[in-house]
Amino acid sequence: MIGILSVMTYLPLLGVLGIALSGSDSRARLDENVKVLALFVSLIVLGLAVYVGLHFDVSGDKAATFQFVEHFSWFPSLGLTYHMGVDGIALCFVLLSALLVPICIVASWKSVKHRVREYMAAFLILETFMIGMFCALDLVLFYIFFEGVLIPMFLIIGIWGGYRRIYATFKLFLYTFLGSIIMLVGLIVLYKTTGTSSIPDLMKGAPALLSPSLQGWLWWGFFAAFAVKIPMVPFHTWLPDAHVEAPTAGSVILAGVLLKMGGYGFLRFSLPMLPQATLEYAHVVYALSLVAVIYTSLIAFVQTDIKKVIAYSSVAHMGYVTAGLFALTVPAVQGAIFQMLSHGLVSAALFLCIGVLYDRLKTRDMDQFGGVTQVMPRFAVVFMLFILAGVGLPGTSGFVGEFLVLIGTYIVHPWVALGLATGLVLGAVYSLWLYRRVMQGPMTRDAVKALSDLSRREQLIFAPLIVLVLWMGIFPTAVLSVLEPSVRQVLSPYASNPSLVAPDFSSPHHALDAPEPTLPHQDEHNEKGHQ
Amino acid sequence: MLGLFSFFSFFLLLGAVGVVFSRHTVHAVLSLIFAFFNAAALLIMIGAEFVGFMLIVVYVGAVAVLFLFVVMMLDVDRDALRSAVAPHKKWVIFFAAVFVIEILALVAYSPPHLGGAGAMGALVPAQGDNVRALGMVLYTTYAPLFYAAGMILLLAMIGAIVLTLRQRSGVRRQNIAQQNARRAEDTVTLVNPPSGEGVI
Amino acid sequence: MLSFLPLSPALSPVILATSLLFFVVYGAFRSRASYGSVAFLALFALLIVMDAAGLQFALNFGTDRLPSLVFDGLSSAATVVLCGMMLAFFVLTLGLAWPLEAALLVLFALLGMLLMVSADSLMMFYMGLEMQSLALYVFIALQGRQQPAAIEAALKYFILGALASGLMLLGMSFLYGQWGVLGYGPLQALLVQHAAVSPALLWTTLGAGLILVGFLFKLSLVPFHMWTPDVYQAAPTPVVAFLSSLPKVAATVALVRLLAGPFYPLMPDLGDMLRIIGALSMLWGALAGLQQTSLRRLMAYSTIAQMGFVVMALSVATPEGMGSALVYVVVYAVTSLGLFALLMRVSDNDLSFNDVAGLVKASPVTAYLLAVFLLSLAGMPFFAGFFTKLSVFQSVLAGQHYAVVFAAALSSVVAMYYYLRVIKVMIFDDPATDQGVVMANHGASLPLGVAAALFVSVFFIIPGPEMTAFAQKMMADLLPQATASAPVMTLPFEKE
Repeated sequence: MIGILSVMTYLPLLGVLGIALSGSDSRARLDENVKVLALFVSLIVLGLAVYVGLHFDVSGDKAATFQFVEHFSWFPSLGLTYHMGVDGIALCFVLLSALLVPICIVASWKSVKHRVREYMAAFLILETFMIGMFCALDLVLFYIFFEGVLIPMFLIIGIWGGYRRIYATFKLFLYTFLGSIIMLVGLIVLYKTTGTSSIPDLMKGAPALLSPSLQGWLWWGFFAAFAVKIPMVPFHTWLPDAHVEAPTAGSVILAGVLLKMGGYGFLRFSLPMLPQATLEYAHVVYALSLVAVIYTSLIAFVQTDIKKVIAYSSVAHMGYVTAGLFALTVPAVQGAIFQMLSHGLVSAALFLCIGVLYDRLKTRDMDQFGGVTQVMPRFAVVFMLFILAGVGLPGTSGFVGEFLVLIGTYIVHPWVALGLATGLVLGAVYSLWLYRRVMQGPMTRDAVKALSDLSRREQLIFAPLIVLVLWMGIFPTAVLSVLEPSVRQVLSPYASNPSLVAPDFSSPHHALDAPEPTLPHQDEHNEKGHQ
Repeated sequence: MLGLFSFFSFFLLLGAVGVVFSRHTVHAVLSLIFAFFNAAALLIMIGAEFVGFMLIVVYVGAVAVLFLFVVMMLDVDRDALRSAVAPHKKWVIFFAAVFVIEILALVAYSPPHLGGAGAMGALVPAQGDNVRALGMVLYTTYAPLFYAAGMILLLAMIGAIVLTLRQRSGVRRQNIAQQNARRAEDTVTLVNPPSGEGVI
Repeated sequence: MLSFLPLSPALSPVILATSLLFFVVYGAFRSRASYGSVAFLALFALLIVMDAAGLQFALNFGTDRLPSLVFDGLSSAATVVLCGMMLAFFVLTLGLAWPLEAALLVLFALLGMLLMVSADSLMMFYMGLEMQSLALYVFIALQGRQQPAAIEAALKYFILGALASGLMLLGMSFLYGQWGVLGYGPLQALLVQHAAVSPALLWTTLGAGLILVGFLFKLSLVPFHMWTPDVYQAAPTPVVAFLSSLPKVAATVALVRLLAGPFYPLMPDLGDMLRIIGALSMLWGALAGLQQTSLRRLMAYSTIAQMGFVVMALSVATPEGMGSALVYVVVYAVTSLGLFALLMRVSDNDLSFNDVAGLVKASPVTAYLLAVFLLSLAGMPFFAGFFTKLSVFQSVLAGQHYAVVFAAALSSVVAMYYYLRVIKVMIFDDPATDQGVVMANHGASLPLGVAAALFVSVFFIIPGPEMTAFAQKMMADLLPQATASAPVMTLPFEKE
C-alpha cells in the first residue's frame, strides 16, 4: 500500500528518469527541457506536500500522532521495515523542503550553464532524500535518507562550486560521514537492545528499556552525527567552506534544509528516547550553544566575504536552536523548531540575495560593493527585510522563534537566556554592518553603477519567501498550533515522570508544560493589576 | 626406534638445509636427493614401504633427475640470487627462529596426544600387505581424492605446456597425411610451350 | 529452484570434470578450436552443473554424500553462485583473443573451487585449494608474452601461495598427528568430546591457526596480504576481474565450513584472532589506500579492507554472523566483477588517476556505473554494500564486540576518501589529454557492468532480503544447535 508520502518522496526520482531519457537536437533546447521538467516535478511535489498539510488532522488526540503512515515489512533479517509517516514537526519540515527545491531550481535557471542535466538530477535526488528523511519512521530508513543526501550534495558542490570546491566538498562529506557512521553503530545497538526499529514505538518505550549508562553512550553517538550536521561549535568548520564554495542554490538548500536535519535528529532521537542522558548532558549543549552564538557572531563581524558572514550567522542561529531544544520546556522547543523553520526561509533568502549580487558582479567581496541601494532599490528592500528577519525584528518569523526560545530557556536557566540575548545583539551588529557596507554608503565602484535591479524571475523566487516570513511573523499561531501537540509528545518523558527532572533547576516556577508562553512574573503583574 | 628416527630426521634436515644454502645449484639438487632418501627411510620405518619406495622411484628417479637436467642446462648463478636476499637475511633468520622456538615450546609444554589412532587402524586390513592395503582404500574411500589428484596432474601438464610452448613460424614440419594425400592433378601440370619461348 | 534434469547434486563436480576432459580433447584435436568456442561450449556445461546443484533446493536441503565430499544447502548455493559468476566471466571474455587453454585453466580453477566448497575432509579441501591455486598461477601468467608484468604477478602469487599452502599442510599434519582423522565430521566429534581438555587443544589450536594462515593468504588479509597490490596491478584486467571475485567466494565458503564444523569448539580463541586480523585488515586497507596513485593498487587495498569485514563477521559464530559474511562476500564479488568489467573498456593494463580523468565525458554510462560500484563498496545507503555492511555490523554488535566495530567504522570513513577521489577524478575533472579517455570496445563488458550495477542497486528490494534470510537459515541449520542467538527484548505494547 503505497501512500502519498512515498509518492511524494519518490516522484523526484521519476523526474530524474525523465531527465536521463530526455534528448534533443540542440544543447540549449535540452537544457531548457530539463529545467522545465525538473521544475514541474518539484512543483507537483510541493502540491502534494500542501495537500498533506491541508489534510493533516490537527484535532485533539490525533494531532500528536503520526499520520499518513505506511508500514510494511522489507528486510526482516535486518529488522528493517518500511515505515513512513509525519507528525506536526515533520510536516512543517517537509513543507519547507518541498518549497525550497522549486525555488532553488528557478534561482539556478540562468546561472548554471554546463552539465545542466546532472545539476537538475542532483537536486531532484536531493529532494527525494530530504523528504524521505523527514518522513522516515524506521531507524535504518532514517539513516539511509540522512546519509543519502551527502551524495547529491557532494556532486553539487564538487562540480558547480567555486574555486576551492573539491576541498570543501570532501570536508563536508567526510566530516558528516564520520558522524553518521558513529550514529549508525548507535542505531544498531538501540535496535538490538530494544528489539524494535520503529521510531514511534521507541519514542514511547525506549526510556524504560535503556539503562542510563547505555543511554549515555547512545546519546554521544547520536550527538556525533547531529552536532556535525547542525553544526555545533567546534564541529562547524566544514560549514563556511561548504557555503562559500557551493553554488547559490546549493547554499540555499544546505542552509535551508540540510542543517535542520541535525536539529530534527535531536528532536526525534535524543530528546524522546534518551531522556536521562539528555538531562545529564544538557549543560554541554548549553555551553556549546552559547559559544556558538557569541563566538560565531564575533567572527561574522570581521569577514569580508558576504557568504561567509551569512554562513557564520547560520551557525549562530542554530546555536539558538540547540539551546532551545535542550531547555526541555514546551515554549523553548516550540521556539527552536519555529526558529529552524524561520531560519530555513530567512537564510535561504539571504543566500539568494547574495546569489543575486554574485550573478551580477561575480564577486562576494564586500569591498567591491557599496551604495547598491541607489541602483537596486527593490533588491534593497528585500535584502533589508531578510536581514531584519535574521536579526529578529518583531513582525518577522525570526522574532517569534527567538522570543520563544528566550522565554523557554529563561524559565529553567536564566543565565543561558542572558547569553543568548547577548548573541541577539551581536547578531544585529554584524547583520546591519553587512547591510551597510554592501548596500549603503557612497557608490565608489564603477561596476556597481551598472547594476540592474531584480528581474521578474528573481522577484518570483523571493515572493513566496517574503510572504511566508511575514505571515509566520504576524500570525505564528498557525504553525505553532500544528507543532504544539507533537512537541508535547516529544517532551512527555520529562513531564510525566517527575523523577526525571534534574535537581539543579533553580527557579520554583519551572513549568514543564506551560500552556502558553508567559513570563513567570506576569502572574504577579496580573494580580497587581487586579488589585 | 627413537634413535633411528632421529638419525634419519637429522640427515633429512641436513639435506633440506643444503638445498637452501648450497652455493652450487647441482649441489642443491643432490642435497634434495639425499633428503628424499632419508624421507623414504622414515616412511619405511613406520611401515609404509610401498610409499617409501614410490618416493624413491618417482621423486628421485624422475623428478630429481629432471631437476638436474634443467639445472645443468640453465647455468643459474646462485650467488647473484643470494646477494639479492642478503640484506634481508637477518629478518629471515629471526622469523624462522621465532617459528621454531614457538613449536619447540609447544612440544615441550604438551607432547602431542594421539586421540584417534583407533580410527586410523580400522582402515588397514589384517593382511598387512602394503600394496593391497593401499589399493583397498585408494580406489574406494579416497577415490574422489585420487581423481582430484589426477586432475591436478593434468592441469600441471597443460599449464607447463601452455606457458612454455612457442609456436615458431617458419619451422618446417612434415605432415604425413598431407603428403600422402597429394594428388597428381594438384602438383603436376603439363604445358606445351612453343619452341624458343620459356614456360613462364 | 529450477531443475530441468533430474541430476543429483553430487554430480556437479563430476559433470564439470567430465566436460573439462572433453574440452581438453576437443581443444587438442579440433584445429579451429579457440578460446571463444570452448568458452561457448562451457556455458552449456556450466548450466547443467548449476542445474544439478540447484536440485538441492528442490529437495529442501537434504544432504548428499560422496566419500570426502558433502552436498548440502551451503555447497549447492555456493556452486550455483560460483557457476553463475563463471558464466558471467565467460560472457565477458568471449571475444578476447586468448589461447584456448585459458578456458581450460579457469574451468580447472572452478572445479577446484567446487571441491573446496563441498569438501568434507581436510585432504579434499586441500586438493581443491591446490587445483584452484595452480590453475590461477598459470592463468595469471598466460598473457606473459604480451604483458611481461603478468609473469611478475604470477610469480609473486605462486611463491607466496606455495608458502601459505605449505604452512597449511603443516597445520593439517599437526591436527592429524593429534587426532588421527582428517574428515570434518569425525574431527568435529572428537574436538567437541575433548573440548574441556586444554593441553590437547593447544596443538589443535596451533594446527587450526596454521590452516587459517592459508585462508588468510587467499582472502588477502593482514598480515598475508602483500601479494594483493602487486598481483592486482600487474595482471591483465580480465584476469584481475576473475581473481578478485570467484576465489574469494570459494575461500569464504570453505572457511565457513571449517569454522562451523570441526573448528567450532575452538571458536572463542579463533574468534578473537579473526577479529584482530579483521580490524587490522580494515584499517590497513583504508590507510594504505590513501596514498595510491594506481587504480589497481587502490582496488587491492579496498579488497583487503572488504575482506576484513568478512572475517569480522565470521568471527561471531552465529547464524547471523556467518550468513551475513556469506552475503557480503557474494555482493562484493559481483561488485568487483562489474567494476573490472567496466575497467576493461578503458584499458587492459593498470590505470592511474590521470588515465581516467574526465571519464564522464568519454562515456557517462561507464563513469556513473563505476561510481555506483565504488559507492556500494564504500557502504553508501541504497546500494547493496550498505545493507551487507549493516548486517555485518548487526551481527557483530549482537556479540557485543564494540572495539572491532569501532575500527570498522573508522576504516569506512577513511576508505570513503579514496573512493570519493576516484569518483571525483572521473566525474568532476576534465580529461588529461585533449582527446579524452579512449574507450576500447570490449563487447560484453558494458552489458555485464550494467547487469552488475542493477544487481547492486536493486539489491535492497529484490535479492537482498531473500538472500540474507536464506543465508542465515542455512547457517542456522549448519551450526551446532547450541548457538541460539540471544533473545531480544520486545516492548510491552502493541505496534501500529
